Amino acid sequence: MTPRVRGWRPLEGALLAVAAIVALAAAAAPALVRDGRVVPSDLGAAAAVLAAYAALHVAMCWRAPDADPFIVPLLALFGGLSLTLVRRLAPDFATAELRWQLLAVGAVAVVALGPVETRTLQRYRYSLASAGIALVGVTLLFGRSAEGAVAGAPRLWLGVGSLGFQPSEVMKLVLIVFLAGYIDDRRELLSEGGPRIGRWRLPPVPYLAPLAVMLGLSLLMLVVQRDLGAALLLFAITLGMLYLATLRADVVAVALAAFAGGAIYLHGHAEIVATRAAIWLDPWSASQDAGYQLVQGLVAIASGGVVGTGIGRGQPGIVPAVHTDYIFAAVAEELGVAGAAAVLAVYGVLAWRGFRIALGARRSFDALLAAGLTIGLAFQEAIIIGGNLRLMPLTGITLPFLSYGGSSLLICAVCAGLLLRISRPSSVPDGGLA
Amino acid sequence: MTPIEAELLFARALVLIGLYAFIGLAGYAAWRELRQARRAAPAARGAHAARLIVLEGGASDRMPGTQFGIGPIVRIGRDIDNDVVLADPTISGRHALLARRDGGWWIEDLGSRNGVEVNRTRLSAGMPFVVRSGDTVGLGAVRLRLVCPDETA
Repeated sequence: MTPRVRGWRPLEGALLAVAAIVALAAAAAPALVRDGRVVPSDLGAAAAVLAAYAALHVAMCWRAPDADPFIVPLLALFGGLSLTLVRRLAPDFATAELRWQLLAVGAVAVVALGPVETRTLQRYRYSLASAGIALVGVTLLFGRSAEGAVAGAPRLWLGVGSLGFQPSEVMKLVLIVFLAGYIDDRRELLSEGGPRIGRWRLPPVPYLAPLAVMLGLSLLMLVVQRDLGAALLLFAITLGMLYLATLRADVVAVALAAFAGGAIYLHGHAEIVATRAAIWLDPWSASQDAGYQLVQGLVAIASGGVVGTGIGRGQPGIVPAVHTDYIFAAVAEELGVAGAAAVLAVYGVLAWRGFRIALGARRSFDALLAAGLTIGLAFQEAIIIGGNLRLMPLTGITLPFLSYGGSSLLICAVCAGLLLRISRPSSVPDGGLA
Repeated sequence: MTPIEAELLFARALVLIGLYAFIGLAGYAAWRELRQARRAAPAARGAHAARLIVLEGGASDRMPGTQFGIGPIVRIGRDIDNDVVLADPTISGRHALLARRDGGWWIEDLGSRNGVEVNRTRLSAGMPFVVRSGDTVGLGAVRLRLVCPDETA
């Protein structure tokens, strides 16, 4: 069967049109509130990003007609909303946000349609893992705080001059690629089990050891840097991928027990963990200092009501870090519970497509990679939204695709690009790499 | 209501309705995909036949992960006329017989030198033993796994 080279992608086109309507209406609303009228320059940024995604849609029709039709519209929808929210909540970052959004479209296009196959990633899994650990290590020594942050804030940034990025974001992607490669090499052995004691079969320790070392090193570095959200995310990704590949509940049980032990130890020995737990359980008694952000976030969410105050009419700017960690609170305030639930459902669509792509992948490495990327995105959303809603202790990570943040947005775009690439059945010939 | 308020209401409604239209379209696509999968299912069933997967190949040239599609009677051994030929010195010429009987799979040691194990339990020669989907069968230095996707055993 010769693969079709071109083809219309009607579902992608229709979804993209809906996404464009949402993004343009969202961009027009704040201008109406502010000036009482909408001039073309108010919609310029959103239109530029939408045009970039439309171009990507045409390129997909041309080069990858079989690829998944949901990913590009999802990115356009989140991109448009993010642009509008950041322009209003953090006007200083508006230009940078537009630049990052356009770069993200480019990143998706290069990863999804470019010459690099996923098997190249598979081949360099150990090099990537070493580079990732080295990167986090270098940050430990030479890292700096985000611009304008208070003294003593976690030093998570690496960069020269005004250019900077967050290595923990890169680490997430590196860990997923490494795990997919490592688990794919040894799947039968990992699920087989090791020595027996009575009727209990122990996990196959020799094969889990390198995995544990990789995870342990990255977690240690992130905990030392006090980047608890990223550490939690890396742990969740590892556990999720290991369980998917082996279906062994005992491995999960052991890992969760270790996690509980670690959490209790850190609660007693690390001030930041104890503070986070305390303000999670009772933010109100510390509402003017440690719990200020949490309380303001809850007030913002509550003031949204069912349909929200309307975009441009709320006061989410009061919440600290509203354009990054707390962007979901801004969505909930201005779009209400109806809009917040819709955004959650759209994230659900993304997770559904991710796992569909994993199920349809031709090679087991691709399947593990797609599942890992989906798990990573889904857990990141759950961790930060759960933190915003006080369902779990707040740990500062970005909300994928919506928060302002160059490193986060680019890495999420690469994840989406990889999902698109894996979903192209015609692009990957079978066999090859052993 | 002033014209601006009306426009604002329109913009707000468009955002929310658009978001839900997006989710609705996705739901419709999911429903269509499921319906197509259900129609295609009977045709694909033949692909889910029982098979043996090599976990450890011993000195034979079978790589781990190699799969043997198998019929209802499977002769396993080193001789060339077996259904599954394993060229390993620890495998006897006629090592074992795997057969489907009474809705299950049974394996019998045909008097091999190095024996047959199911999930690391050594079998007595001439005594057939039940093998379920997912079980590991050891023959000398070779280990195989029986997989039959249609059975939930």
